[in-house]
Amino acid sequence: MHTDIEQYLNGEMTPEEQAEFERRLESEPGLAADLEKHKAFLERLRTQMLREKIAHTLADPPAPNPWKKRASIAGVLLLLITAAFWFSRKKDPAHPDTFPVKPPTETRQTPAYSDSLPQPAEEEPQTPAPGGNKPGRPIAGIPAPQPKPGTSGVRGQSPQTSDWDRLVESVWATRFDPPPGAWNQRYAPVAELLKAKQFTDAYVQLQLLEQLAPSSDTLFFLKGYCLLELREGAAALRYFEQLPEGTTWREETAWYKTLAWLLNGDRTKALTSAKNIYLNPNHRFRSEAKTLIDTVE
Amino acid sequence: MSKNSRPPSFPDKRSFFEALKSLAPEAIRQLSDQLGGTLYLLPGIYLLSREDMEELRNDALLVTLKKMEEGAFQFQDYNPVSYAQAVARKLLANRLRKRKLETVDLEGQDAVADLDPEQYYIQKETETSLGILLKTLGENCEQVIRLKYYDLLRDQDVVEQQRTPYTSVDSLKSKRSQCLKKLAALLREKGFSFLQFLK
Repeated sequence: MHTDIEQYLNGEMTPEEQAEFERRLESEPGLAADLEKHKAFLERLRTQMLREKIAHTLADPPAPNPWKKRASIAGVLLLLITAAFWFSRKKDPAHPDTFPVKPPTETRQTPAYSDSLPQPAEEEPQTPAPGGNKPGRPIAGIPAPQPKPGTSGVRGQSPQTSDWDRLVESVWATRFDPPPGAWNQRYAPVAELLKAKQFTDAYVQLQLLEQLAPSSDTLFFLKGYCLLELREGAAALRYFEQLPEGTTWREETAWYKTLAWLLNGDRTKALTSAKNIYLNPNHRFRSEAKTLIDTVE
Repeated sequence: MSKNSRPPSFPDKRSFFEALKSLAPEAIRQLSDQLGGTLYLLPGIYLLSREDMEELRNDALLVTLKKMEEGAFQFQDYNPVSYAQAVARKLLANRLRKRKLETVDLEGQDAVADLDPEQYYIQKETETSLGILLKTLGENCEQVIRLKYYDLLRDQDVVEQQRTPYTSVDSLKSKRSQCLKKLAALLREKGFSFLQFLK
């Protein structure tokens, strides 16, 4: 990178130096082109930082309104008092203006699959998710999603590992052991990076391949797997969902989609998918699916 | 319509617009809430997964804020929510077209005539890669670059406010220059060229 370009863009030149630089810009097309590239590079950088700021802002709930909390507590207390008053009225069936008392219900009907996660208290700030593509708040009108676990990035390196992160960690199982000749030679370098767990490097290579080569099932599978290992559950799902039903990697795809839903906090989908895998006695990831079912349920 | 909306913090349009221009978190959240509620009105939105809908919303927010910054979208033009919805509609049409799904005629979308969704998504992929590579340089590098090129703080202010471990302007500049060189080297190593940033 040209130091003088940096100085010029940062406004660090004296008026004389600036005038001299601008004369050079007119007489040296190469320098002018480099200046434009540098400006464009910084613009792309700024845009990405803005993208991440939006994601963080939406992932971070606003400060709670203390009066709202007090009003909620008061409402709940009023409800309990009313319920206690209602159930305390005893009626006798022998007298026409009385009726039998139903005992208060002590057990709740639990669904076959529990859909609720331990919900954080409304006031607890959620860990902002770094990275450009992490959604935060629910879209207005859609039922609030389950809380998204942890942060994106390499697993285990987040400084604020939640209970959900630990749960995901405990059932996490991936295998990247493709047989020789599993795919076109074009993907061999990326496959090596994935085997070596160099997911960031692999991601960058996959980005390039996506730009240079036509899209293919192999590319979608590899990119989905790479994003999964980078803990980008939502992004991984987008790629896996483009794979056809009869894809070569259908068993891996089914299991990795399960993990991606788990990463996204979508317990219901993760459990349903795991159970479908478990029902197949020959599935490669049957025992992993069983572990997930036992742990999550 | 929205189950999750809060009362607006900026009932006045001008203050809302100005708060968005300065990237105030409350304003971004308000725009997100109001836009989220209108996304359901977009034709074909139901064809997207939940994750894609959220990504679409975030993309629309980003483009709206960038246009405000560039001056392409000014206060006397449209309500920010309407503008963001127009952006979302255009991006959605592009997505659906790519998936060979039925799209809606976009005639009349003058508000965002200069938005090229294809270009936006190509640039987004490059920007995302850039973000990932920047993170691999470590928190210090990310911070010194962010403070200068995103927060647009003067080096003198950064040093005085002790926002970094660097106690002099020269050491801060030197570190930033080092980080940019490393980033450029990383980009070259990974096969990116600066030409990609001109697309």
